[in-house]
Amino acid sequence: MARIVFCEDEVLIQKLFRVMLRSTDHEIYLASDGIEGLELVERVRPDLIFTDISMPDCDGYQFADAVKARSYLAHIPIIFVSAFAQQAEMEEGFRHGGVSYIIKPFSSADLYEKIERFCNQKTPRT
Amino acid sequence: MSRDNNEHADIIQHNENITLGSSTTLVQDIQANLYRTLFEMLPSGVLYYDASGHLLAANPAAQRIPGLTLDQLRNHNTPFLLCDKEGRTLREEEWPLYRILAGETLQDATAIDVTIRGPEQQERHMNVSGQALYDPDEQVRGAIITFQDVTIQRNSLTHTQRSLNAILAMADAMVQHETDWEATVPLEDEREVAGAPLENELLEENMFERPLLELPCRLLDCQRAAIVLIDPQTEILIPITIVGISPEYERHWYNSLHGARLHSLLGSQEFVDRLRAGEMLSLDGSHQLFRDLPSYKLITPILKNGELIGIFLIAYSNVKPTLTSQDLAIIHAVAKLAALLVEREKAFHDRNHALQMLQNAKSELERTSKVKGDFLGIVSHEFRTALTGIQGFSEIMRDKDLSVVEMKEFAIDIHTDARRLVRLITGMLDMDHREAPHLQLNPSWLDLNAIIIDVVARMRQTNPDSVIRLQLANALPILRGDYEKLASVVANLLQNANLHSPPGAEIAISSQIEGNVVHICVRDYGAGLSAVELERVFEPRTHSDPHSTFHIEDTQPELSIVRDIVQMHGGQAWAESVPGKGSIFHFTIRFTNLR
Repeated sequence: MARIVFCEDEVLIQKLFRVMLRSTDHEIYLASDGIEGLELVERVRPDLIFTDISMPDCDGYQFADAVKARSYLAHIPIIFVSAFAQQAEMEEGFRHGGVSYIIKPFSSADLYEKIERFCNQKTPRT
Repeated sequence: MSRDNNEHADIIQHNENITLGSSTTLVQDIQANLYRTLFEMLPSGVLYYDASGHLLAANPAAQRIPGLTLDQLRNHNTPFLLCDKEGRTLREEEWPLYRILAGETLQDATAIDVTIRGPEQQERHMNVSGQALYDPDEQVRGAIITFQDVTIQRNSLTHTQRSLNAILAMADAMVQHETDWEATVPLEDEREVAGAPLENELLEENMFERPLLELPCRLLDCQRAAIVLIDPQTEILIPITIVGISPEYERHWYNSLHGARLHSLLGSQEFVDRLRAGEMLSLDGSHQLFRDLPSYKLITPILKNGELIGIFLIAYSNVKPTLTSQDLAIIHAVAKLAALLVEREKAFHDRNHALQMLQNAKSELERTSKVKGDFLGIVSHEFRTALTGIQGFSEIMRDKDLSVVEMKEFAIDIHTDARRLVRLITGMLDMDHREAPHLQLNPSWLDLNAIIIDVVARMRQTNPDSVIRLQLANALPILRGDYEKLASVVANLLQNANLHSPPGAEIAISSQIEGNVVHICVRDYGAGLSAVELERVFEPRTHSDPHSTFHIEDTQPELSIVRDIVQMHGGQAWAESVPGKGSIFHFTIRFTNLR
């Protein structure tokens, strides 16, 4: 079981995320922008963070910067989930401390693969 | 004079020794005779004065050269003024006569030039020498003055100097021009350059080449001259420089010359052919080139590699001028310099034109490419976002065992995103329309109330939850407008109101007649707009930042298009808002005067 924060401003995509992962035993926490996301991360100390890039007020990059700037949170892997499909966008994500990315539209398999890879690596749980 | 006397005496002595033998009286006779002959025959004027300045003798040349009688000379009774080279009238003590009587010797290098100026300002230049005559007690006994007419030499010298100055000034003008070009290459300005690069701009820009013409004009004693470029393709004349008697006159010449064709200006193809052959045309007053006083005109071809690229036009009065070979040489020199100038002018304009075109093309390309890139980025982002729900929920429906309720729920979610995709596509098409340089109206007679009813009906279908209240005028005048575009104005405003209204809140749309306009209001009870938002509400959103939260779809209607369409119908669009209480968007459409 892993604790996962998903930061996404689109309600429908939040719902999709939850539905896709509901058959797993992962705990899903949803935030709709970077500010809310940071509060959530501070509170639940997740094993993995998924975040959209384009969000009002505090975008995914700013959110990632804020997480990485806190030493007690900096170890949490961040995966960007974005509809920006260009290479430059992906590289920008790595510059902000991302470990991987998923391009929208995505499938459940994409999510499982990332969770397995990054949660087992960081916090092996059963 | 005494030295001359001795010389003459020697010669006489010598002659006498050879031929006549010695006889004092005979020698004196011969001597006197010789002096008299010399005196009579000398081409220079010789005047002999006593110590008080009375004329004692004057040879015929002294009367012939200035055209005076002996009496006039004797009484200083002449119509002339004595002036120095600069034209200043000499005071009496400055006259050569009195300077000599005061003991000065004027000879060779110290000989002086005086100008005598007649009553009609005619001038003649004299070179004056002279020396005092002394008695054995070294007292001044009188003065001998010789003078010769150097008018032709002096004029020629002056002319040569002025020619040189003129050529120098022309060269200067060209060098100056070069510097100016470098300093003022107008690359970034907004001038329309796509048209003919060699036309309209020329007069204003190139009149600073006047020095090129002004001096030759003075030199050739003409008051009006022009250097005119001929466009090789069209044979259209383009004046480069005009010198005339007044700015208005120059304008008259410019207007007469600019845009005319050479053969129509000259009135005959034969003249054109002669110019092409390099011949200088001289036309008398019977050839009236343009609305101008009859005048004698000289037209010199400006040739470059045998091609006629321009003309150098000089106009005199109606009297045929006497032109010396020197004058003609100057005219040819000006024509040759003008050829260089014209070439450079063209090269300069061609270069500028080409640079400008390149610059324009480059920035247009950059702009297009950026807009295209931005646009594709946004479109891709929006499409991918909308597809996320469709793909994700359909995948779950395919792979999972779901209840009917859940199936229905996810189908609704898919449908929502599918609808969003449709709106995206519509939005894109609208945007394409928006970015088109000119919106075209397709006017017909229409009733704004009917449009409102139509749009509201459609809106109720797609947004069953929205509460729209109609407050329409009983009857509106039929007006001319574009049905589809006005419908999109109403739809955009209603969507905007819907977007900003809390769920279930009422939206009101009203119509009424005010003067010669129909006034439509769309009111919502949403969050309202801040002063800053209100100010910018009709501004087009920029598409430059793909990270901005801009969406193509109609969740954020483009209000700039509302304003544009309304203005095209001769109306106005504005908004008012109270933060926290909602906004009212207004627009008016005039009954008439569709632009």
